[in-house]
Amino acid sequence: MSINDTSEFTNPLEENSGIVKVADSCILVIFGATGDLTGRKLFPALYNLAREGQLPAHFACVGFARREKTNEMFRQEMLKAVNEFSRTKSIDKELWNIFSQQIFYHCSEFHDDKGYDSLNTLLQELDSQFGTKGNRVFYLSTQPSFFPLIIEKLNKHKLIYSLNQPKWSRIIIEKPFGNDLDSAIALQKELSQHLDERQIYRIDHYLGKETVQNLLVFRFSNPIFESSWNNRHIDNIQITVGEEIGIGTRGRFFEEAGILRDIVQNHMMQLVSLVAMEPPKNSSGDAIRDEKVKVVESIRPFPKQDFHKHIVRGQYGPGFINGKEVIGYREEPNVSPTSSVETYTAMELFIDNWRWAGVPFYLRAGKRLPKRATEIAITFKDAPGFLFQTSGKKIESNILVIRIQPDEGTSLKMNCKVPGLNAPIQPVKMDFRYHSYFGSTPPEAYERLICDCMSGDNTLFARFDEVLASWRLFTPVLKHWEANAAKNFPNYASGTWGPKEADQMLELSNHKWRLI
Amino acid sequence: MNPDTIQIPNIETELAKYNIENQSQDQTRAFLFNLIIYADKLDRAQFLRKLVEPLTNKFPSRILFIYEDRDSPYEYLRVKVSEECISQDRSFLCDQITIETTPKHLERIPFLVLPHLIPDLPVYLLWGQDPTINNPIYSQLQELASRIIFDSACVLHLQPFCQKMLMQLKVLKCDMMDLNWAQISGWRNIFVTVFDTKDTVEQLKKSKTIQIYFNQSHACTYHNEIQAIYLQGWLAAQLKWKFLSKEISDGEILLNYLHNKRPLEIKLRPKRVPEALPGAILKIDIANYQNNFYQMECQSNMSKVNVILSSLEKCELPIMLPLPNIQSSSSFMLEVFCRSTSEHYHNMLKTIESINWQRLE
Repeated sequence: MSINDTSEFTNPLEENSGIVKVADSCILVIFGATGDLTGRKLFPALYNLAREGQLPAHFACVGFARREKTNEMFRQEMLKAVNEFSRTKSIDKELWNIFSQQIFYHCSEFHDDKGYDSLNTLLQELDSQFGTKGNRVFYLSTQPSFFPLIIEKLNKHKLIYSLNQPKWSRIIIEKPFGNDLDSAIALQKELSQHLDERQIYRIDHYLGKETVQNLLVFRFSNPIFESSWNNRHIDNIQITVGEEIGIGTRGRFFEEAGILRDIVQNHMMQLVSLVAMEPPKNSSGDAIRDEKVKVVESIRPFPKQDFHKHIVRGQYGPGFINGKEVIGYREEPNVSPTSSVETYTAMELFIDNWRWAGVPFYLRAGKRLPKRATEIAITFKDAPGFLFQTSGKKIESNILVIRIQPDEGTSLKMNCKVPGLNAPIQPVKMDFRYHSYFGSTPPEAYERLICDCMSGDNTLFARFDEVLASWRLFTPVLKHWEANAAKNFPNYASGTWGPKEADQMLELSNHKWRLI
Repeated sequence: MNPDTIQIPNIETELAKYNIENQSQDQTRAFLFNLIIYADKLDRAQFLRKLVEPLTNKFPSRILFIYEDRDSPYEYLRVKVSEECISQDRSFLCDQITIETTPKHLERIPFLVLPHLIPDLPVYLLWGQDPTINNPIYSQLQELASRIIFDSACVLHLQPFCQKMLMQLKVLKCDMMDLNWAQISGWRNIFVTVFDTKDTVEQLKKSKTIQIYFNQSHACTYHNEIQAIYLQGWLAAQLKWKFLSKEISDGEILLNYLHNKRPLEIKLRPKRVPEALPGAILKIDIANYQNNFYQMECQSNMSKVNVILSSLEKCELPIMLPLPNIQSSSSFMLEVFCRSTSEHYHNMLKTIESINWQRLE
């Protein structure tokens, strides 16, 4: 049932505890359909949803882009993309033959009114053909600068509707949601001229990951952990998003963005808020998002006079990854040889609330690190006293690690006595791995998110106040960096864990980065 | 790995041996639950073993397989232990304890099972016998279980089975699942997907004839028609059709219902499709009083259903929907092992329990 549906129809055939989530009938229009995202992520997701029976029975998809193509050409391209990028291999030809008949292509410029008129005609024809009831999802897989134009045109040509109608319309937009606080507010102002917040679905694909969704289940269905999830028991929390790859062909984009905008402001803030939030009053999307926003709003702003003590930036130079020599950031294509853009950042955050007062959250994100790893490591406080003294050696802290990717799972480090007389205490690890227990490939993030949007469930999408709170925190840092170019870039070699300054930042509090 | 018979007191020792070997080969044992399986017929035991194979790849578990051999000329009780690989690289394993016994030693089984359940994990009991038959170990094993899965395909008479199940639903404190009910979950989801609005559900309610084709193959089941009976019973229960009468003719079951004073005829028609599972639903044709027609037919490998909606004026493009099967589907496994006791199942049983079902063969 969509939030726009005012009738109270309860399907007698549908059981409430249904495992399969079935989305509402609709047409999905992808703007920028010839771009990278459509082939790599969106169509493989749609195909797998079809394969799992989670696409609505009445569904069609229209690719909207500038290049001239026929329906058949577009279908062939998407077949090729699905063959290459789908998580399930050996494409079901019979299924694809049926599914591809629901795929169409519409050629137009984003500013062309005639293009929107003809799109409207096409969508109405598809409504009759497929029974999609006038419901629309518009996926804006374009540069953010096009968002206001497209939405204004959609509104002008009555392709998007107000709430409280039998049919509904929603838009999905990808990050970045603005480049800083002012641009985020300006973008929101543009969007909200034509759309209600409940119609805007801001994708942060981290929220679609099974392991990220598991954070809430882990925290709130295991009281044993929740009771020690606070400043009485936790010493520090480290969140790492590490990539071994460089910026590849994204030089042009990265020069405008940097890693703070690309990863920290959005993905990492989602992880911080899920780790630190209070239990929501219920499992509704708004209840969960309310608690997440409170976390971000409670983060202590970086002191302007002491930025460098609390936030470090870096840029990778040449080095070695997996034994192979790699070039530095400034040698990458479409990157200025004197670029000051950061490919690494590390920071120390404090959340000023009763639960977390005094607990440092250490965040680091970087390109060209030794390995790909996204994890949350919670280090617990040491046991009081020195009951088990072993030649003055300190007993190791308990550490709970939640591995987001790769090798998804959870581990807990604890201490054990080694068998034998006068034997030492040895840390051991309890390890749970998703793959060993739940075998088959889990759904990709985009599958979950697209299905949720079609079902009208916005839990896993970023709300504007979350985005705003995050920009409020980081915009002063970005402005400071823009005004003060880094003098020592590059300051870490590819294949290392980042600049020394990041280590020194933790050493000030007698902490160290966890070796991953 | 082929299991070898071992002495009963050595079960844990044998399992421990596997543990040590695994660690030296860098392998890990993984368990999500304990699964006790009971069967008293060889063909049913084989069917349940085959069912369990893909299961352990998705849900690693300790399996305790109990086979009561009623045909053996001599008495015995023997135990075998084996390990099952759940990942392609053999890095993750789970184990299986197989207990074979003649009726004389049956009463010892619960005592054999109890010490070998992995603590703190759920215990599921897959009962491969007609529950209307009094079995001395059922009540003891049932007390251990947090979920009981019944195998309605092996019941002798459906009516007493339904009545027994309705009683169990009242008294059992744990979750209950019926394998045949789980096997039609794919079809139920297809109905939910196709009839997803008030209008389409109304069209379905106004059905005039429904024909359900099911696979009639000689296999280890007494009632190949059970899934078809369940599916029509579910529709009747949820859409509030009133049962009038039942006839059997030429191997087909004809059921007459009434909805808003209009008669509705449901025909259960057997077909033979060797490659399909016994009792599997193959095709459903629906015609209603407004001359709307729905044809839902399984495609070649029984993993998809082609749905065609038409009326006198037009024929819509076909829709292809997946049909999870018991060999490969996570959703089927979730249905059997994770879903709580279904209210729809209860409603369906209430609808069909008053009907005197006979064996077709």
